[in-house]
Amino acid sequence: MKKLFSLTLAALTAFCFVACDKKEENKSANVSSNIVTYTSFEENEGNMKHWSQGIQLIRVLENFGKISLNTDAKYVKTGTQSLCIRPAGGYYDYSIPYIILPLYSETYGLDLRNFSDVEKVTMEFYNAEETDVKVAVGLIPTITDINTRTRSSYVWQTLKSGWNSISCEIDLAMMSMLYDMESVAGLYIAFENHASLAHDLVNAPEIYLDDVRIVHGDTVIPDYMDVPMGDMEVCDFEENWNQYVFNDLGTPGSNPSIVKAADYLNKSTNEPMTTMNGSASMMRFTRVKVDDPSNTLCGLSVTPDAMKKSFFKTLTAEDLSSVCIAFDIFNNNPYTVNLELRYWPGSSSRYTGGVYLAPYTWMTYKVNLLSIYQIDNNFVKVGGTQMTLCWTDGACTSETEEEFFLDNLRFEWSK
Amino acid sequence: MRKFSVCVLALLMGACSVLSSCSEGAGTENKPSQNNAEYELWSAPNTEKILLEAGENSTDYSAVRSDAKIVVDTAKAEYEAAQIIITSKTDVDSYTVKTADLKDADGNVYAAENVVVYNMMYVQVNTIYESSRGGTPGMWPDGIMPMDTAVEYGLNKMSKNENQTIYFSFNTPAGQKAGFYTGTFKLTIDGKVNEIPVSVKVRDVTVSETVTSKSIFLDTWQYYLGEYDGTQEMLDLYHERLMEYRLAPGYLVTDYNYSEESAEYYAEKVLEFASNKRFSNYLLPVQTTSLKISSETFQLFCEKILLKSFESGINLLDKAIVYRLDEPKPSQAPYLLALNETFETAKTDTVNLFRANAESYAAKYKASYEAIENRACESFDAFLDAVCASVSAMQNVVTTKYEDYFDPDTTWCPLFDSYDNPSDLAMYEQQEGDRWWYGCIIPNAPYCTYHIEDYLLAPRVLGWLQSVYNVRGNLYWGVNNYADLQSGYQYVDDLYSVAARYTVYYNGEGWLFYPGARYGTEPIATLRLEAIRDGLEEYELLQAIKAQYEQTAEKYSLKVNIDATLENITQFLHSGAQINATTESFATARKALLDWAEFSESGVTFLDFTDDGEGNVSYRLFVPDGVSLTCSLGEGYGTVTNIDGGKIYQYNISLSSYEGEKNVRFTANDGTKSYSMDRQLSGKVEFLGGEFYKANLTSGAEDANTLMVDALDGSQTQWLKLAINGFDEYNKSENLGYRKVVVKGGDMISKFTTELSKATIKFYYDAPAGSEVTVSWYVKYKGLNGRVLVAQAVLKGGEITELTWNNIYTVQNLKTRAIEDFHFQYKETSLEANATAETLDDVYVVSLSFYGL
Repeated sequence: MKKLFSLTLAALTAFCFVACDKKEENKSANVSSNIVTYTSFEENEGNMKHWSQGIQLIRVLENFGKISLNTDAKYVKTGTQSLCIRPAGGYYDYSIPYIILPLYSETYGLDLRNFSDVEKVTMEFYNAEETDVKVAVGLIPTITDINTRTRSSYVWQTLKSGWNSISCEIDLAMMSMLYDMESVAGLYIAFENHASLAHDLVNAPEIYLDDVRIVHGDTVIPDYMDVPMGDMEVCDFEENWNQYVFNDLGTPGSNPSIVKAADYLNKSTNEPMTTMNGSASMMRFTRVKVDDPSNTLCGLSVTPDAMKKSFFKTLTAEDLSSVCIAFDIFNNNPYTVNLELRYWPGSSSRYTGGVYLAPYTWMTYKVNLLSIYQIDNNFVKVGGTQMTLCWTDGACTSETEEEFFLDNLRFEWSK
Repeated sequence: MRKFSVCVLALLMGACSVLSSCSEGAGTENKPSQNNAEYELWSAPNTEKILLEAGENSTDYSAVRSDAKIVVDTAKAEYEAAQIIITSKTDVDSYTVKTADLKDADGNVYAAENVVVYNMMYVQVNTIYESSRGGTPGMWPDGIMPMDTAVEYGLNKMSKNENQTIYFSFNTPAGQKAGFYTGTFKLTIDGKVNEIPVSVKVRDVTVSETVTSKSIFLDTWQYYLGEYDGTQEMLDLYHERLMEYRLAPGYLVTDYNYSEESAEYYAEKVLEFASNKRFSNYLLPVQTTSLKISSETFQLFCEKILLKSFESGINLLDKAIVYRLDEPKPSQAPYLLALNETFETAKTDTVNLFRANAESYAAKYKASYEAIENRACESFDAFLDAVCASVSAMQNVVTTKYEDYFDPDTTWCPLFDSYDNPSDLAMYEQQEGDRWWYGCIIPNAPYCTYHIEDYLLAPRVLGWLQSVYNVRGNLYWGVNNYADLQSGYQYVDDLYSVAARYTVYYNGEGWLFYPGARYGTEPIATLRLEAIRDGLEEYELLQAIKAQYEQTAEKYSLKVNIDATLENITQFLHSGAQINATTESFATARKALLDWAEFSESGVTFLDFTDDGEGNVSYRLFVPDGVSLTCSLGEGYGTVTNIDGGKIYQYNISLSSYEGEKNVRFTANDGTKSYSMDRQLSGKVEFLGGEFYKANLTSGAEDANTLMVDALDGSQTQWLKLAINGFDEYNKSENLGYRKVVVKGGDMISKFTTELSKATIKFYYDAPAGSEVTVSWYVKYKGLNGRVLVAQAVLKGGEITELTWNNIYTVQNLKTRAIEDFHFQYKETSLEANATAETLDDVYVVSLSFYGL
């Protein structure tokens, strides 16, 4: 896949998480006018002793584990309180545990949704374990309901034992291409799965969080900036912004993230993975066993904005029969897997096309857009929203997660 | 302004209290309410909800208000509550409560530790959904927070013009000596100590600590959103809290699949809870494909639980229930059939598996099982038989009313109001195994709801109705739904202030707890849960009496119609499945229940109670040898007949001429102890013939053919022979399949006032046996759209049938509105909905009876 972006652009990253030991000197609630303390878990709300608005609004996912207010000074960065986090995750309902810090509350007059000039979000973590713990922090661009939201991909960072300052720098130029940065619904903090059969906290690391701050900059990003895509490309996963193209569906598994091919093994040869075209990066995702595969739609959704801003924007109805959507996919499992590409326009009709993936092989999947258009002739107009890569029938039967790699989402002219 | 018709109760309570303290000798002198410029103290029955708002334009509680004192009448092993209200005239900075031991005349102690004090929490209700109860928007009492927690968090303060309820829960130990205990609690308000006189009457009856009712109160909703904790430990806490309230959770674990490992873990959880006497049942996970149950995984789960049963000596499968299909649509009839069929197959396969493995089970578990001291069955083989029987009897509860198009072998779990449909009721009575019912948003009051603005008595009386209708199981979809279902479940910022979390109307729907996380405590219960438990405790007392009566019937070869006595005692609590109890009528019924439970210890048994629908009532009692019986009716009402082992007493009263006391007191004495029980009579009865009905007919009956004729039963009276027109055009177009008779205005309607206890119309259906006509009585109130169903009955061919509208005096609409008309709708069971019917001329009105208060 040809490289579309300059080095300068490549240097732009949507989030840059920097773990460091340097401690901030100014510990006041609002360090400066352009720094907003989301919470330091100190604010007493009226007569609610020990309870702050900061913790009350935190949304815990079903299998997250537990959070609670901490008053042990050892684990407090500033003031007298911090948040104790015990991330577990689902055991059978396998999931990455994360919590959401909403940026809006009508009840409490909270409105920090405008990220159009935000440079970074900073958090202070204390890892009470003797071993490293991975954390990922990112944005929740939208929340539809408690089970439906969009979430930027996980970028794992390491928490060493003791205090860690995590700074997630936001590249507004990239983010604004995909999300409405004036109305970001929340932040998320994710951990790796530490579930146990008894659904307790026995495997859950003990982490403390303090001083969540949002740092605003001087520059406001324009409302719209075109996605710097190539002629037919949607993304090749060589750029950090590409991580926002795919989201999981909120159901167990998938967990898409951009990875370096060399960091993963081909499980057949035990040699480092290589991409189909020799590029450095690709997208990794997983599939896990679920209780009731016939009733659980698992998979990845393609960010509508990414599709809209790609080749789609120039596509005409006349082009459809000549254009395919394509991607390369590698099944890193010892058996054949059936995946589907599903276009679901929100009505009862939908397009579904399956692909059988042979073990340990890169394959190219293509579907002619006319097939989708015939199901939904509004397809071109809406720009391919609701496109998912999913698996329902014959879903994962393995007790361990299955691994896949995906690369080079693109359009191609039919030969 | 909300009005309460409980003046009599207030007087009664005061009188009782005085009487108790005088007659039993250990009472505390009643002190006047402790009112001053800053606040007033008063009490109200525990069946009343007192809103936070006080001052001008607030609810008038004068009818339920009495001096600030606590009066409790309780069984052993029962929770019973009392409430003291502080009405602030200025801001109150703090209030605290100090309880103390109570003592009886002999110095026996009722320990202070048996009393838990709660601070009432209030939640804003903006929209009154249960409008028939007459409530108004405002801050409604709901959560009960331990007072210590309220003090710790500084919540023990008030603003000016507020009512703050202090809620006292008395949990009387099973071993508490029966007696009359008194003492004083101290309520300190802004430094000033107020003494609250307390009296607790402990009856010599005990509520079963083992919960014999069943329930499915699902608690695996979004508890994690309120508690910030999605662990099994937190779910277990909700399970335990539910069991404190005699309720059973649904699924026991939060995360499971159908693997062996998961089945083993589930079985461990079942065993973990099984030692709790209040663990009545649990849901067994079943794996389905297109609603066909996997026999393989069903057997896996059952066998894992069986092995735990061997280890514990407890038949753990006896408590298993399946609930897989919720509110099926007609189109799902084939799936329901498949579900039931595969369920039966899975159960059979499981029993076969157990039988096939019997020898290997015995080799491994027999010795250890038979070494367990409190094992369920003496022998291992008998235990295995019992477990197999439990598997075979396991129920698959389906939340639907009876429908012709569903598999008749379904374990029906209809909405409460389906029990008011006579033909549906007949189907439920034929169902094998336990009967179930449920409520979910609907039906509205006057059926039971758990909505915050409904009467607190509704969920309490539901327990009584379960005994009346022999319904053992109650299902409710959510006790900790800590989200707001609007378009999808939405987050709620403050779960303590939003009452309507299932669209904007349904206050309290889907949740019966408040999260405890904010206050560092366990999940916070509500008044609604307290009412549910109160009702289930009373259910246990009723069931215990039933069991005792069955033993008496068997021992003396007696025919006992306990349902008639039960119906008579609960007559002022409900009308069919509709709950229209008042605080006053409930207090009377509860006293009767406690009296009845004690009275039954004498061996005297109420064999029957009859009311012929014309005001002629009778009591029939069995008195065993060695026991004497007296009745307050005195001479002239009773007859005595000797039988083997005792005597039969019969008392007859004609309420149309009776001038005596409304309470009939029966007193039994077994030589060592005296037992008394009051039975309440209706007021005077006005008895009218069919001619009265004829004179008030407006339309629907053809004058030429509707006429008075000689009674068909040979009695020297005349009946009204109705000639009811065929379907009208509207009826035909809507395929409703009924005809109607309209009564509009006239003397008949004017008789329906709040002075009326009930009205009974007797019908005769002159048709062959087996023929049926359902008659439904609807009322139209002025200013209200639609008609309200007040009574329904099935007229059977060749029989006289009563159609009764009960508890008319409790109807809120009657207090504020006039009746516009009555519709009596007649529907023949055999008639197709869209048939062109001939005039129905086989129905006769025999008589009308109006029962006063």
